[in-house]
Amino acid sequence: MFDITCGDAGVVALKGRLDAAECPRAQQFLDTVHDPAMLDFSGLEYISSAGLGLLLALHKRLLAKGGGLRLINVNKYICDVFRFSGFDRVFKVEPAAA
Amino acid sequence: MIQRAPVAGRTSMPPARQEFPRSFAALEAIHAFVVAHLPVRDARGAVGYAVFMAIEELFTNMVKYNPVGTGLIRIELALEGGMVACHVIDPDSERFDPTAAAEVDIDRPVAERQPGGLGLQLVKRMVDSLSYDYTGRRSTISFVRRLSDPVPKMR
Repeated sequence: MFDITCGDAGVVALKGRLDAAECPRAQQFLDTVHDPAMLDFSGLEYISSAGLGLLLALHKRLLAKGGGLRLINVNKYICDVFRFSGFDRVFKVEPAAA
Repeated sequence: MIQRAPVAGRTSMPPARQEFPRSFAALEAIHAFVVAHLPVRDARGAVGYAVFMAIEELFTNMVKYNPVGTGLIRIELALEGGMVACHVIDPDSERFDPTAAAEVDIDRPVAERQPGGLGLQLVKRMVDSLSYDYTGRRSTISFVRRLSDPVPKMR
């Protein structure tokens, strides 16, 4: 199960499991993001390479407008995925408190 | 189709196998299959993440690059000697050896990076061994992941 919503402060919250089957829905939502974006991963349990592709595409689109992605409350397993893919050097990634 | 209750604390079990349709929509059922056959503590931790991610990347590659293959894709899982052993089997495919896939340069500047191509690289980083067999038109991709060590050794 996966969910993506936008909170009052403009923070985009992702919850559940972002696998390849859920990417079209996430893509549809993220296509509406136009400002420098903060994504809250506190409820996100899992992301695969398909989800990483969405984040990279969004980040590059925002960079072209002078913005970029900031990911907060990222669990340790997803932090490992970012490290293994080099994405920890692409986005601003803030791990969740232990 | 085999369904089992979640395994609590076991380090060995006979192979479990299940077949899935050639569709991304099968991922939810595949996740349930994995969770049902790993020890509970591992299913929720680094091992469960690595095992499911490896299966997702291998399965979705089969779906994306061989949509016209006939037959269901079979996944087999076993616990033995503190290891998870998994086989992902496409019964009707061309040869594609994931162990020989080119590495993605993860140090490239962001402007030069493109979405996609990372799946197999992540698999290699998250499992302890990966192998491939092609017999007839059957592709079998196998991997092993240790239960006890959160850090895989394959690079």
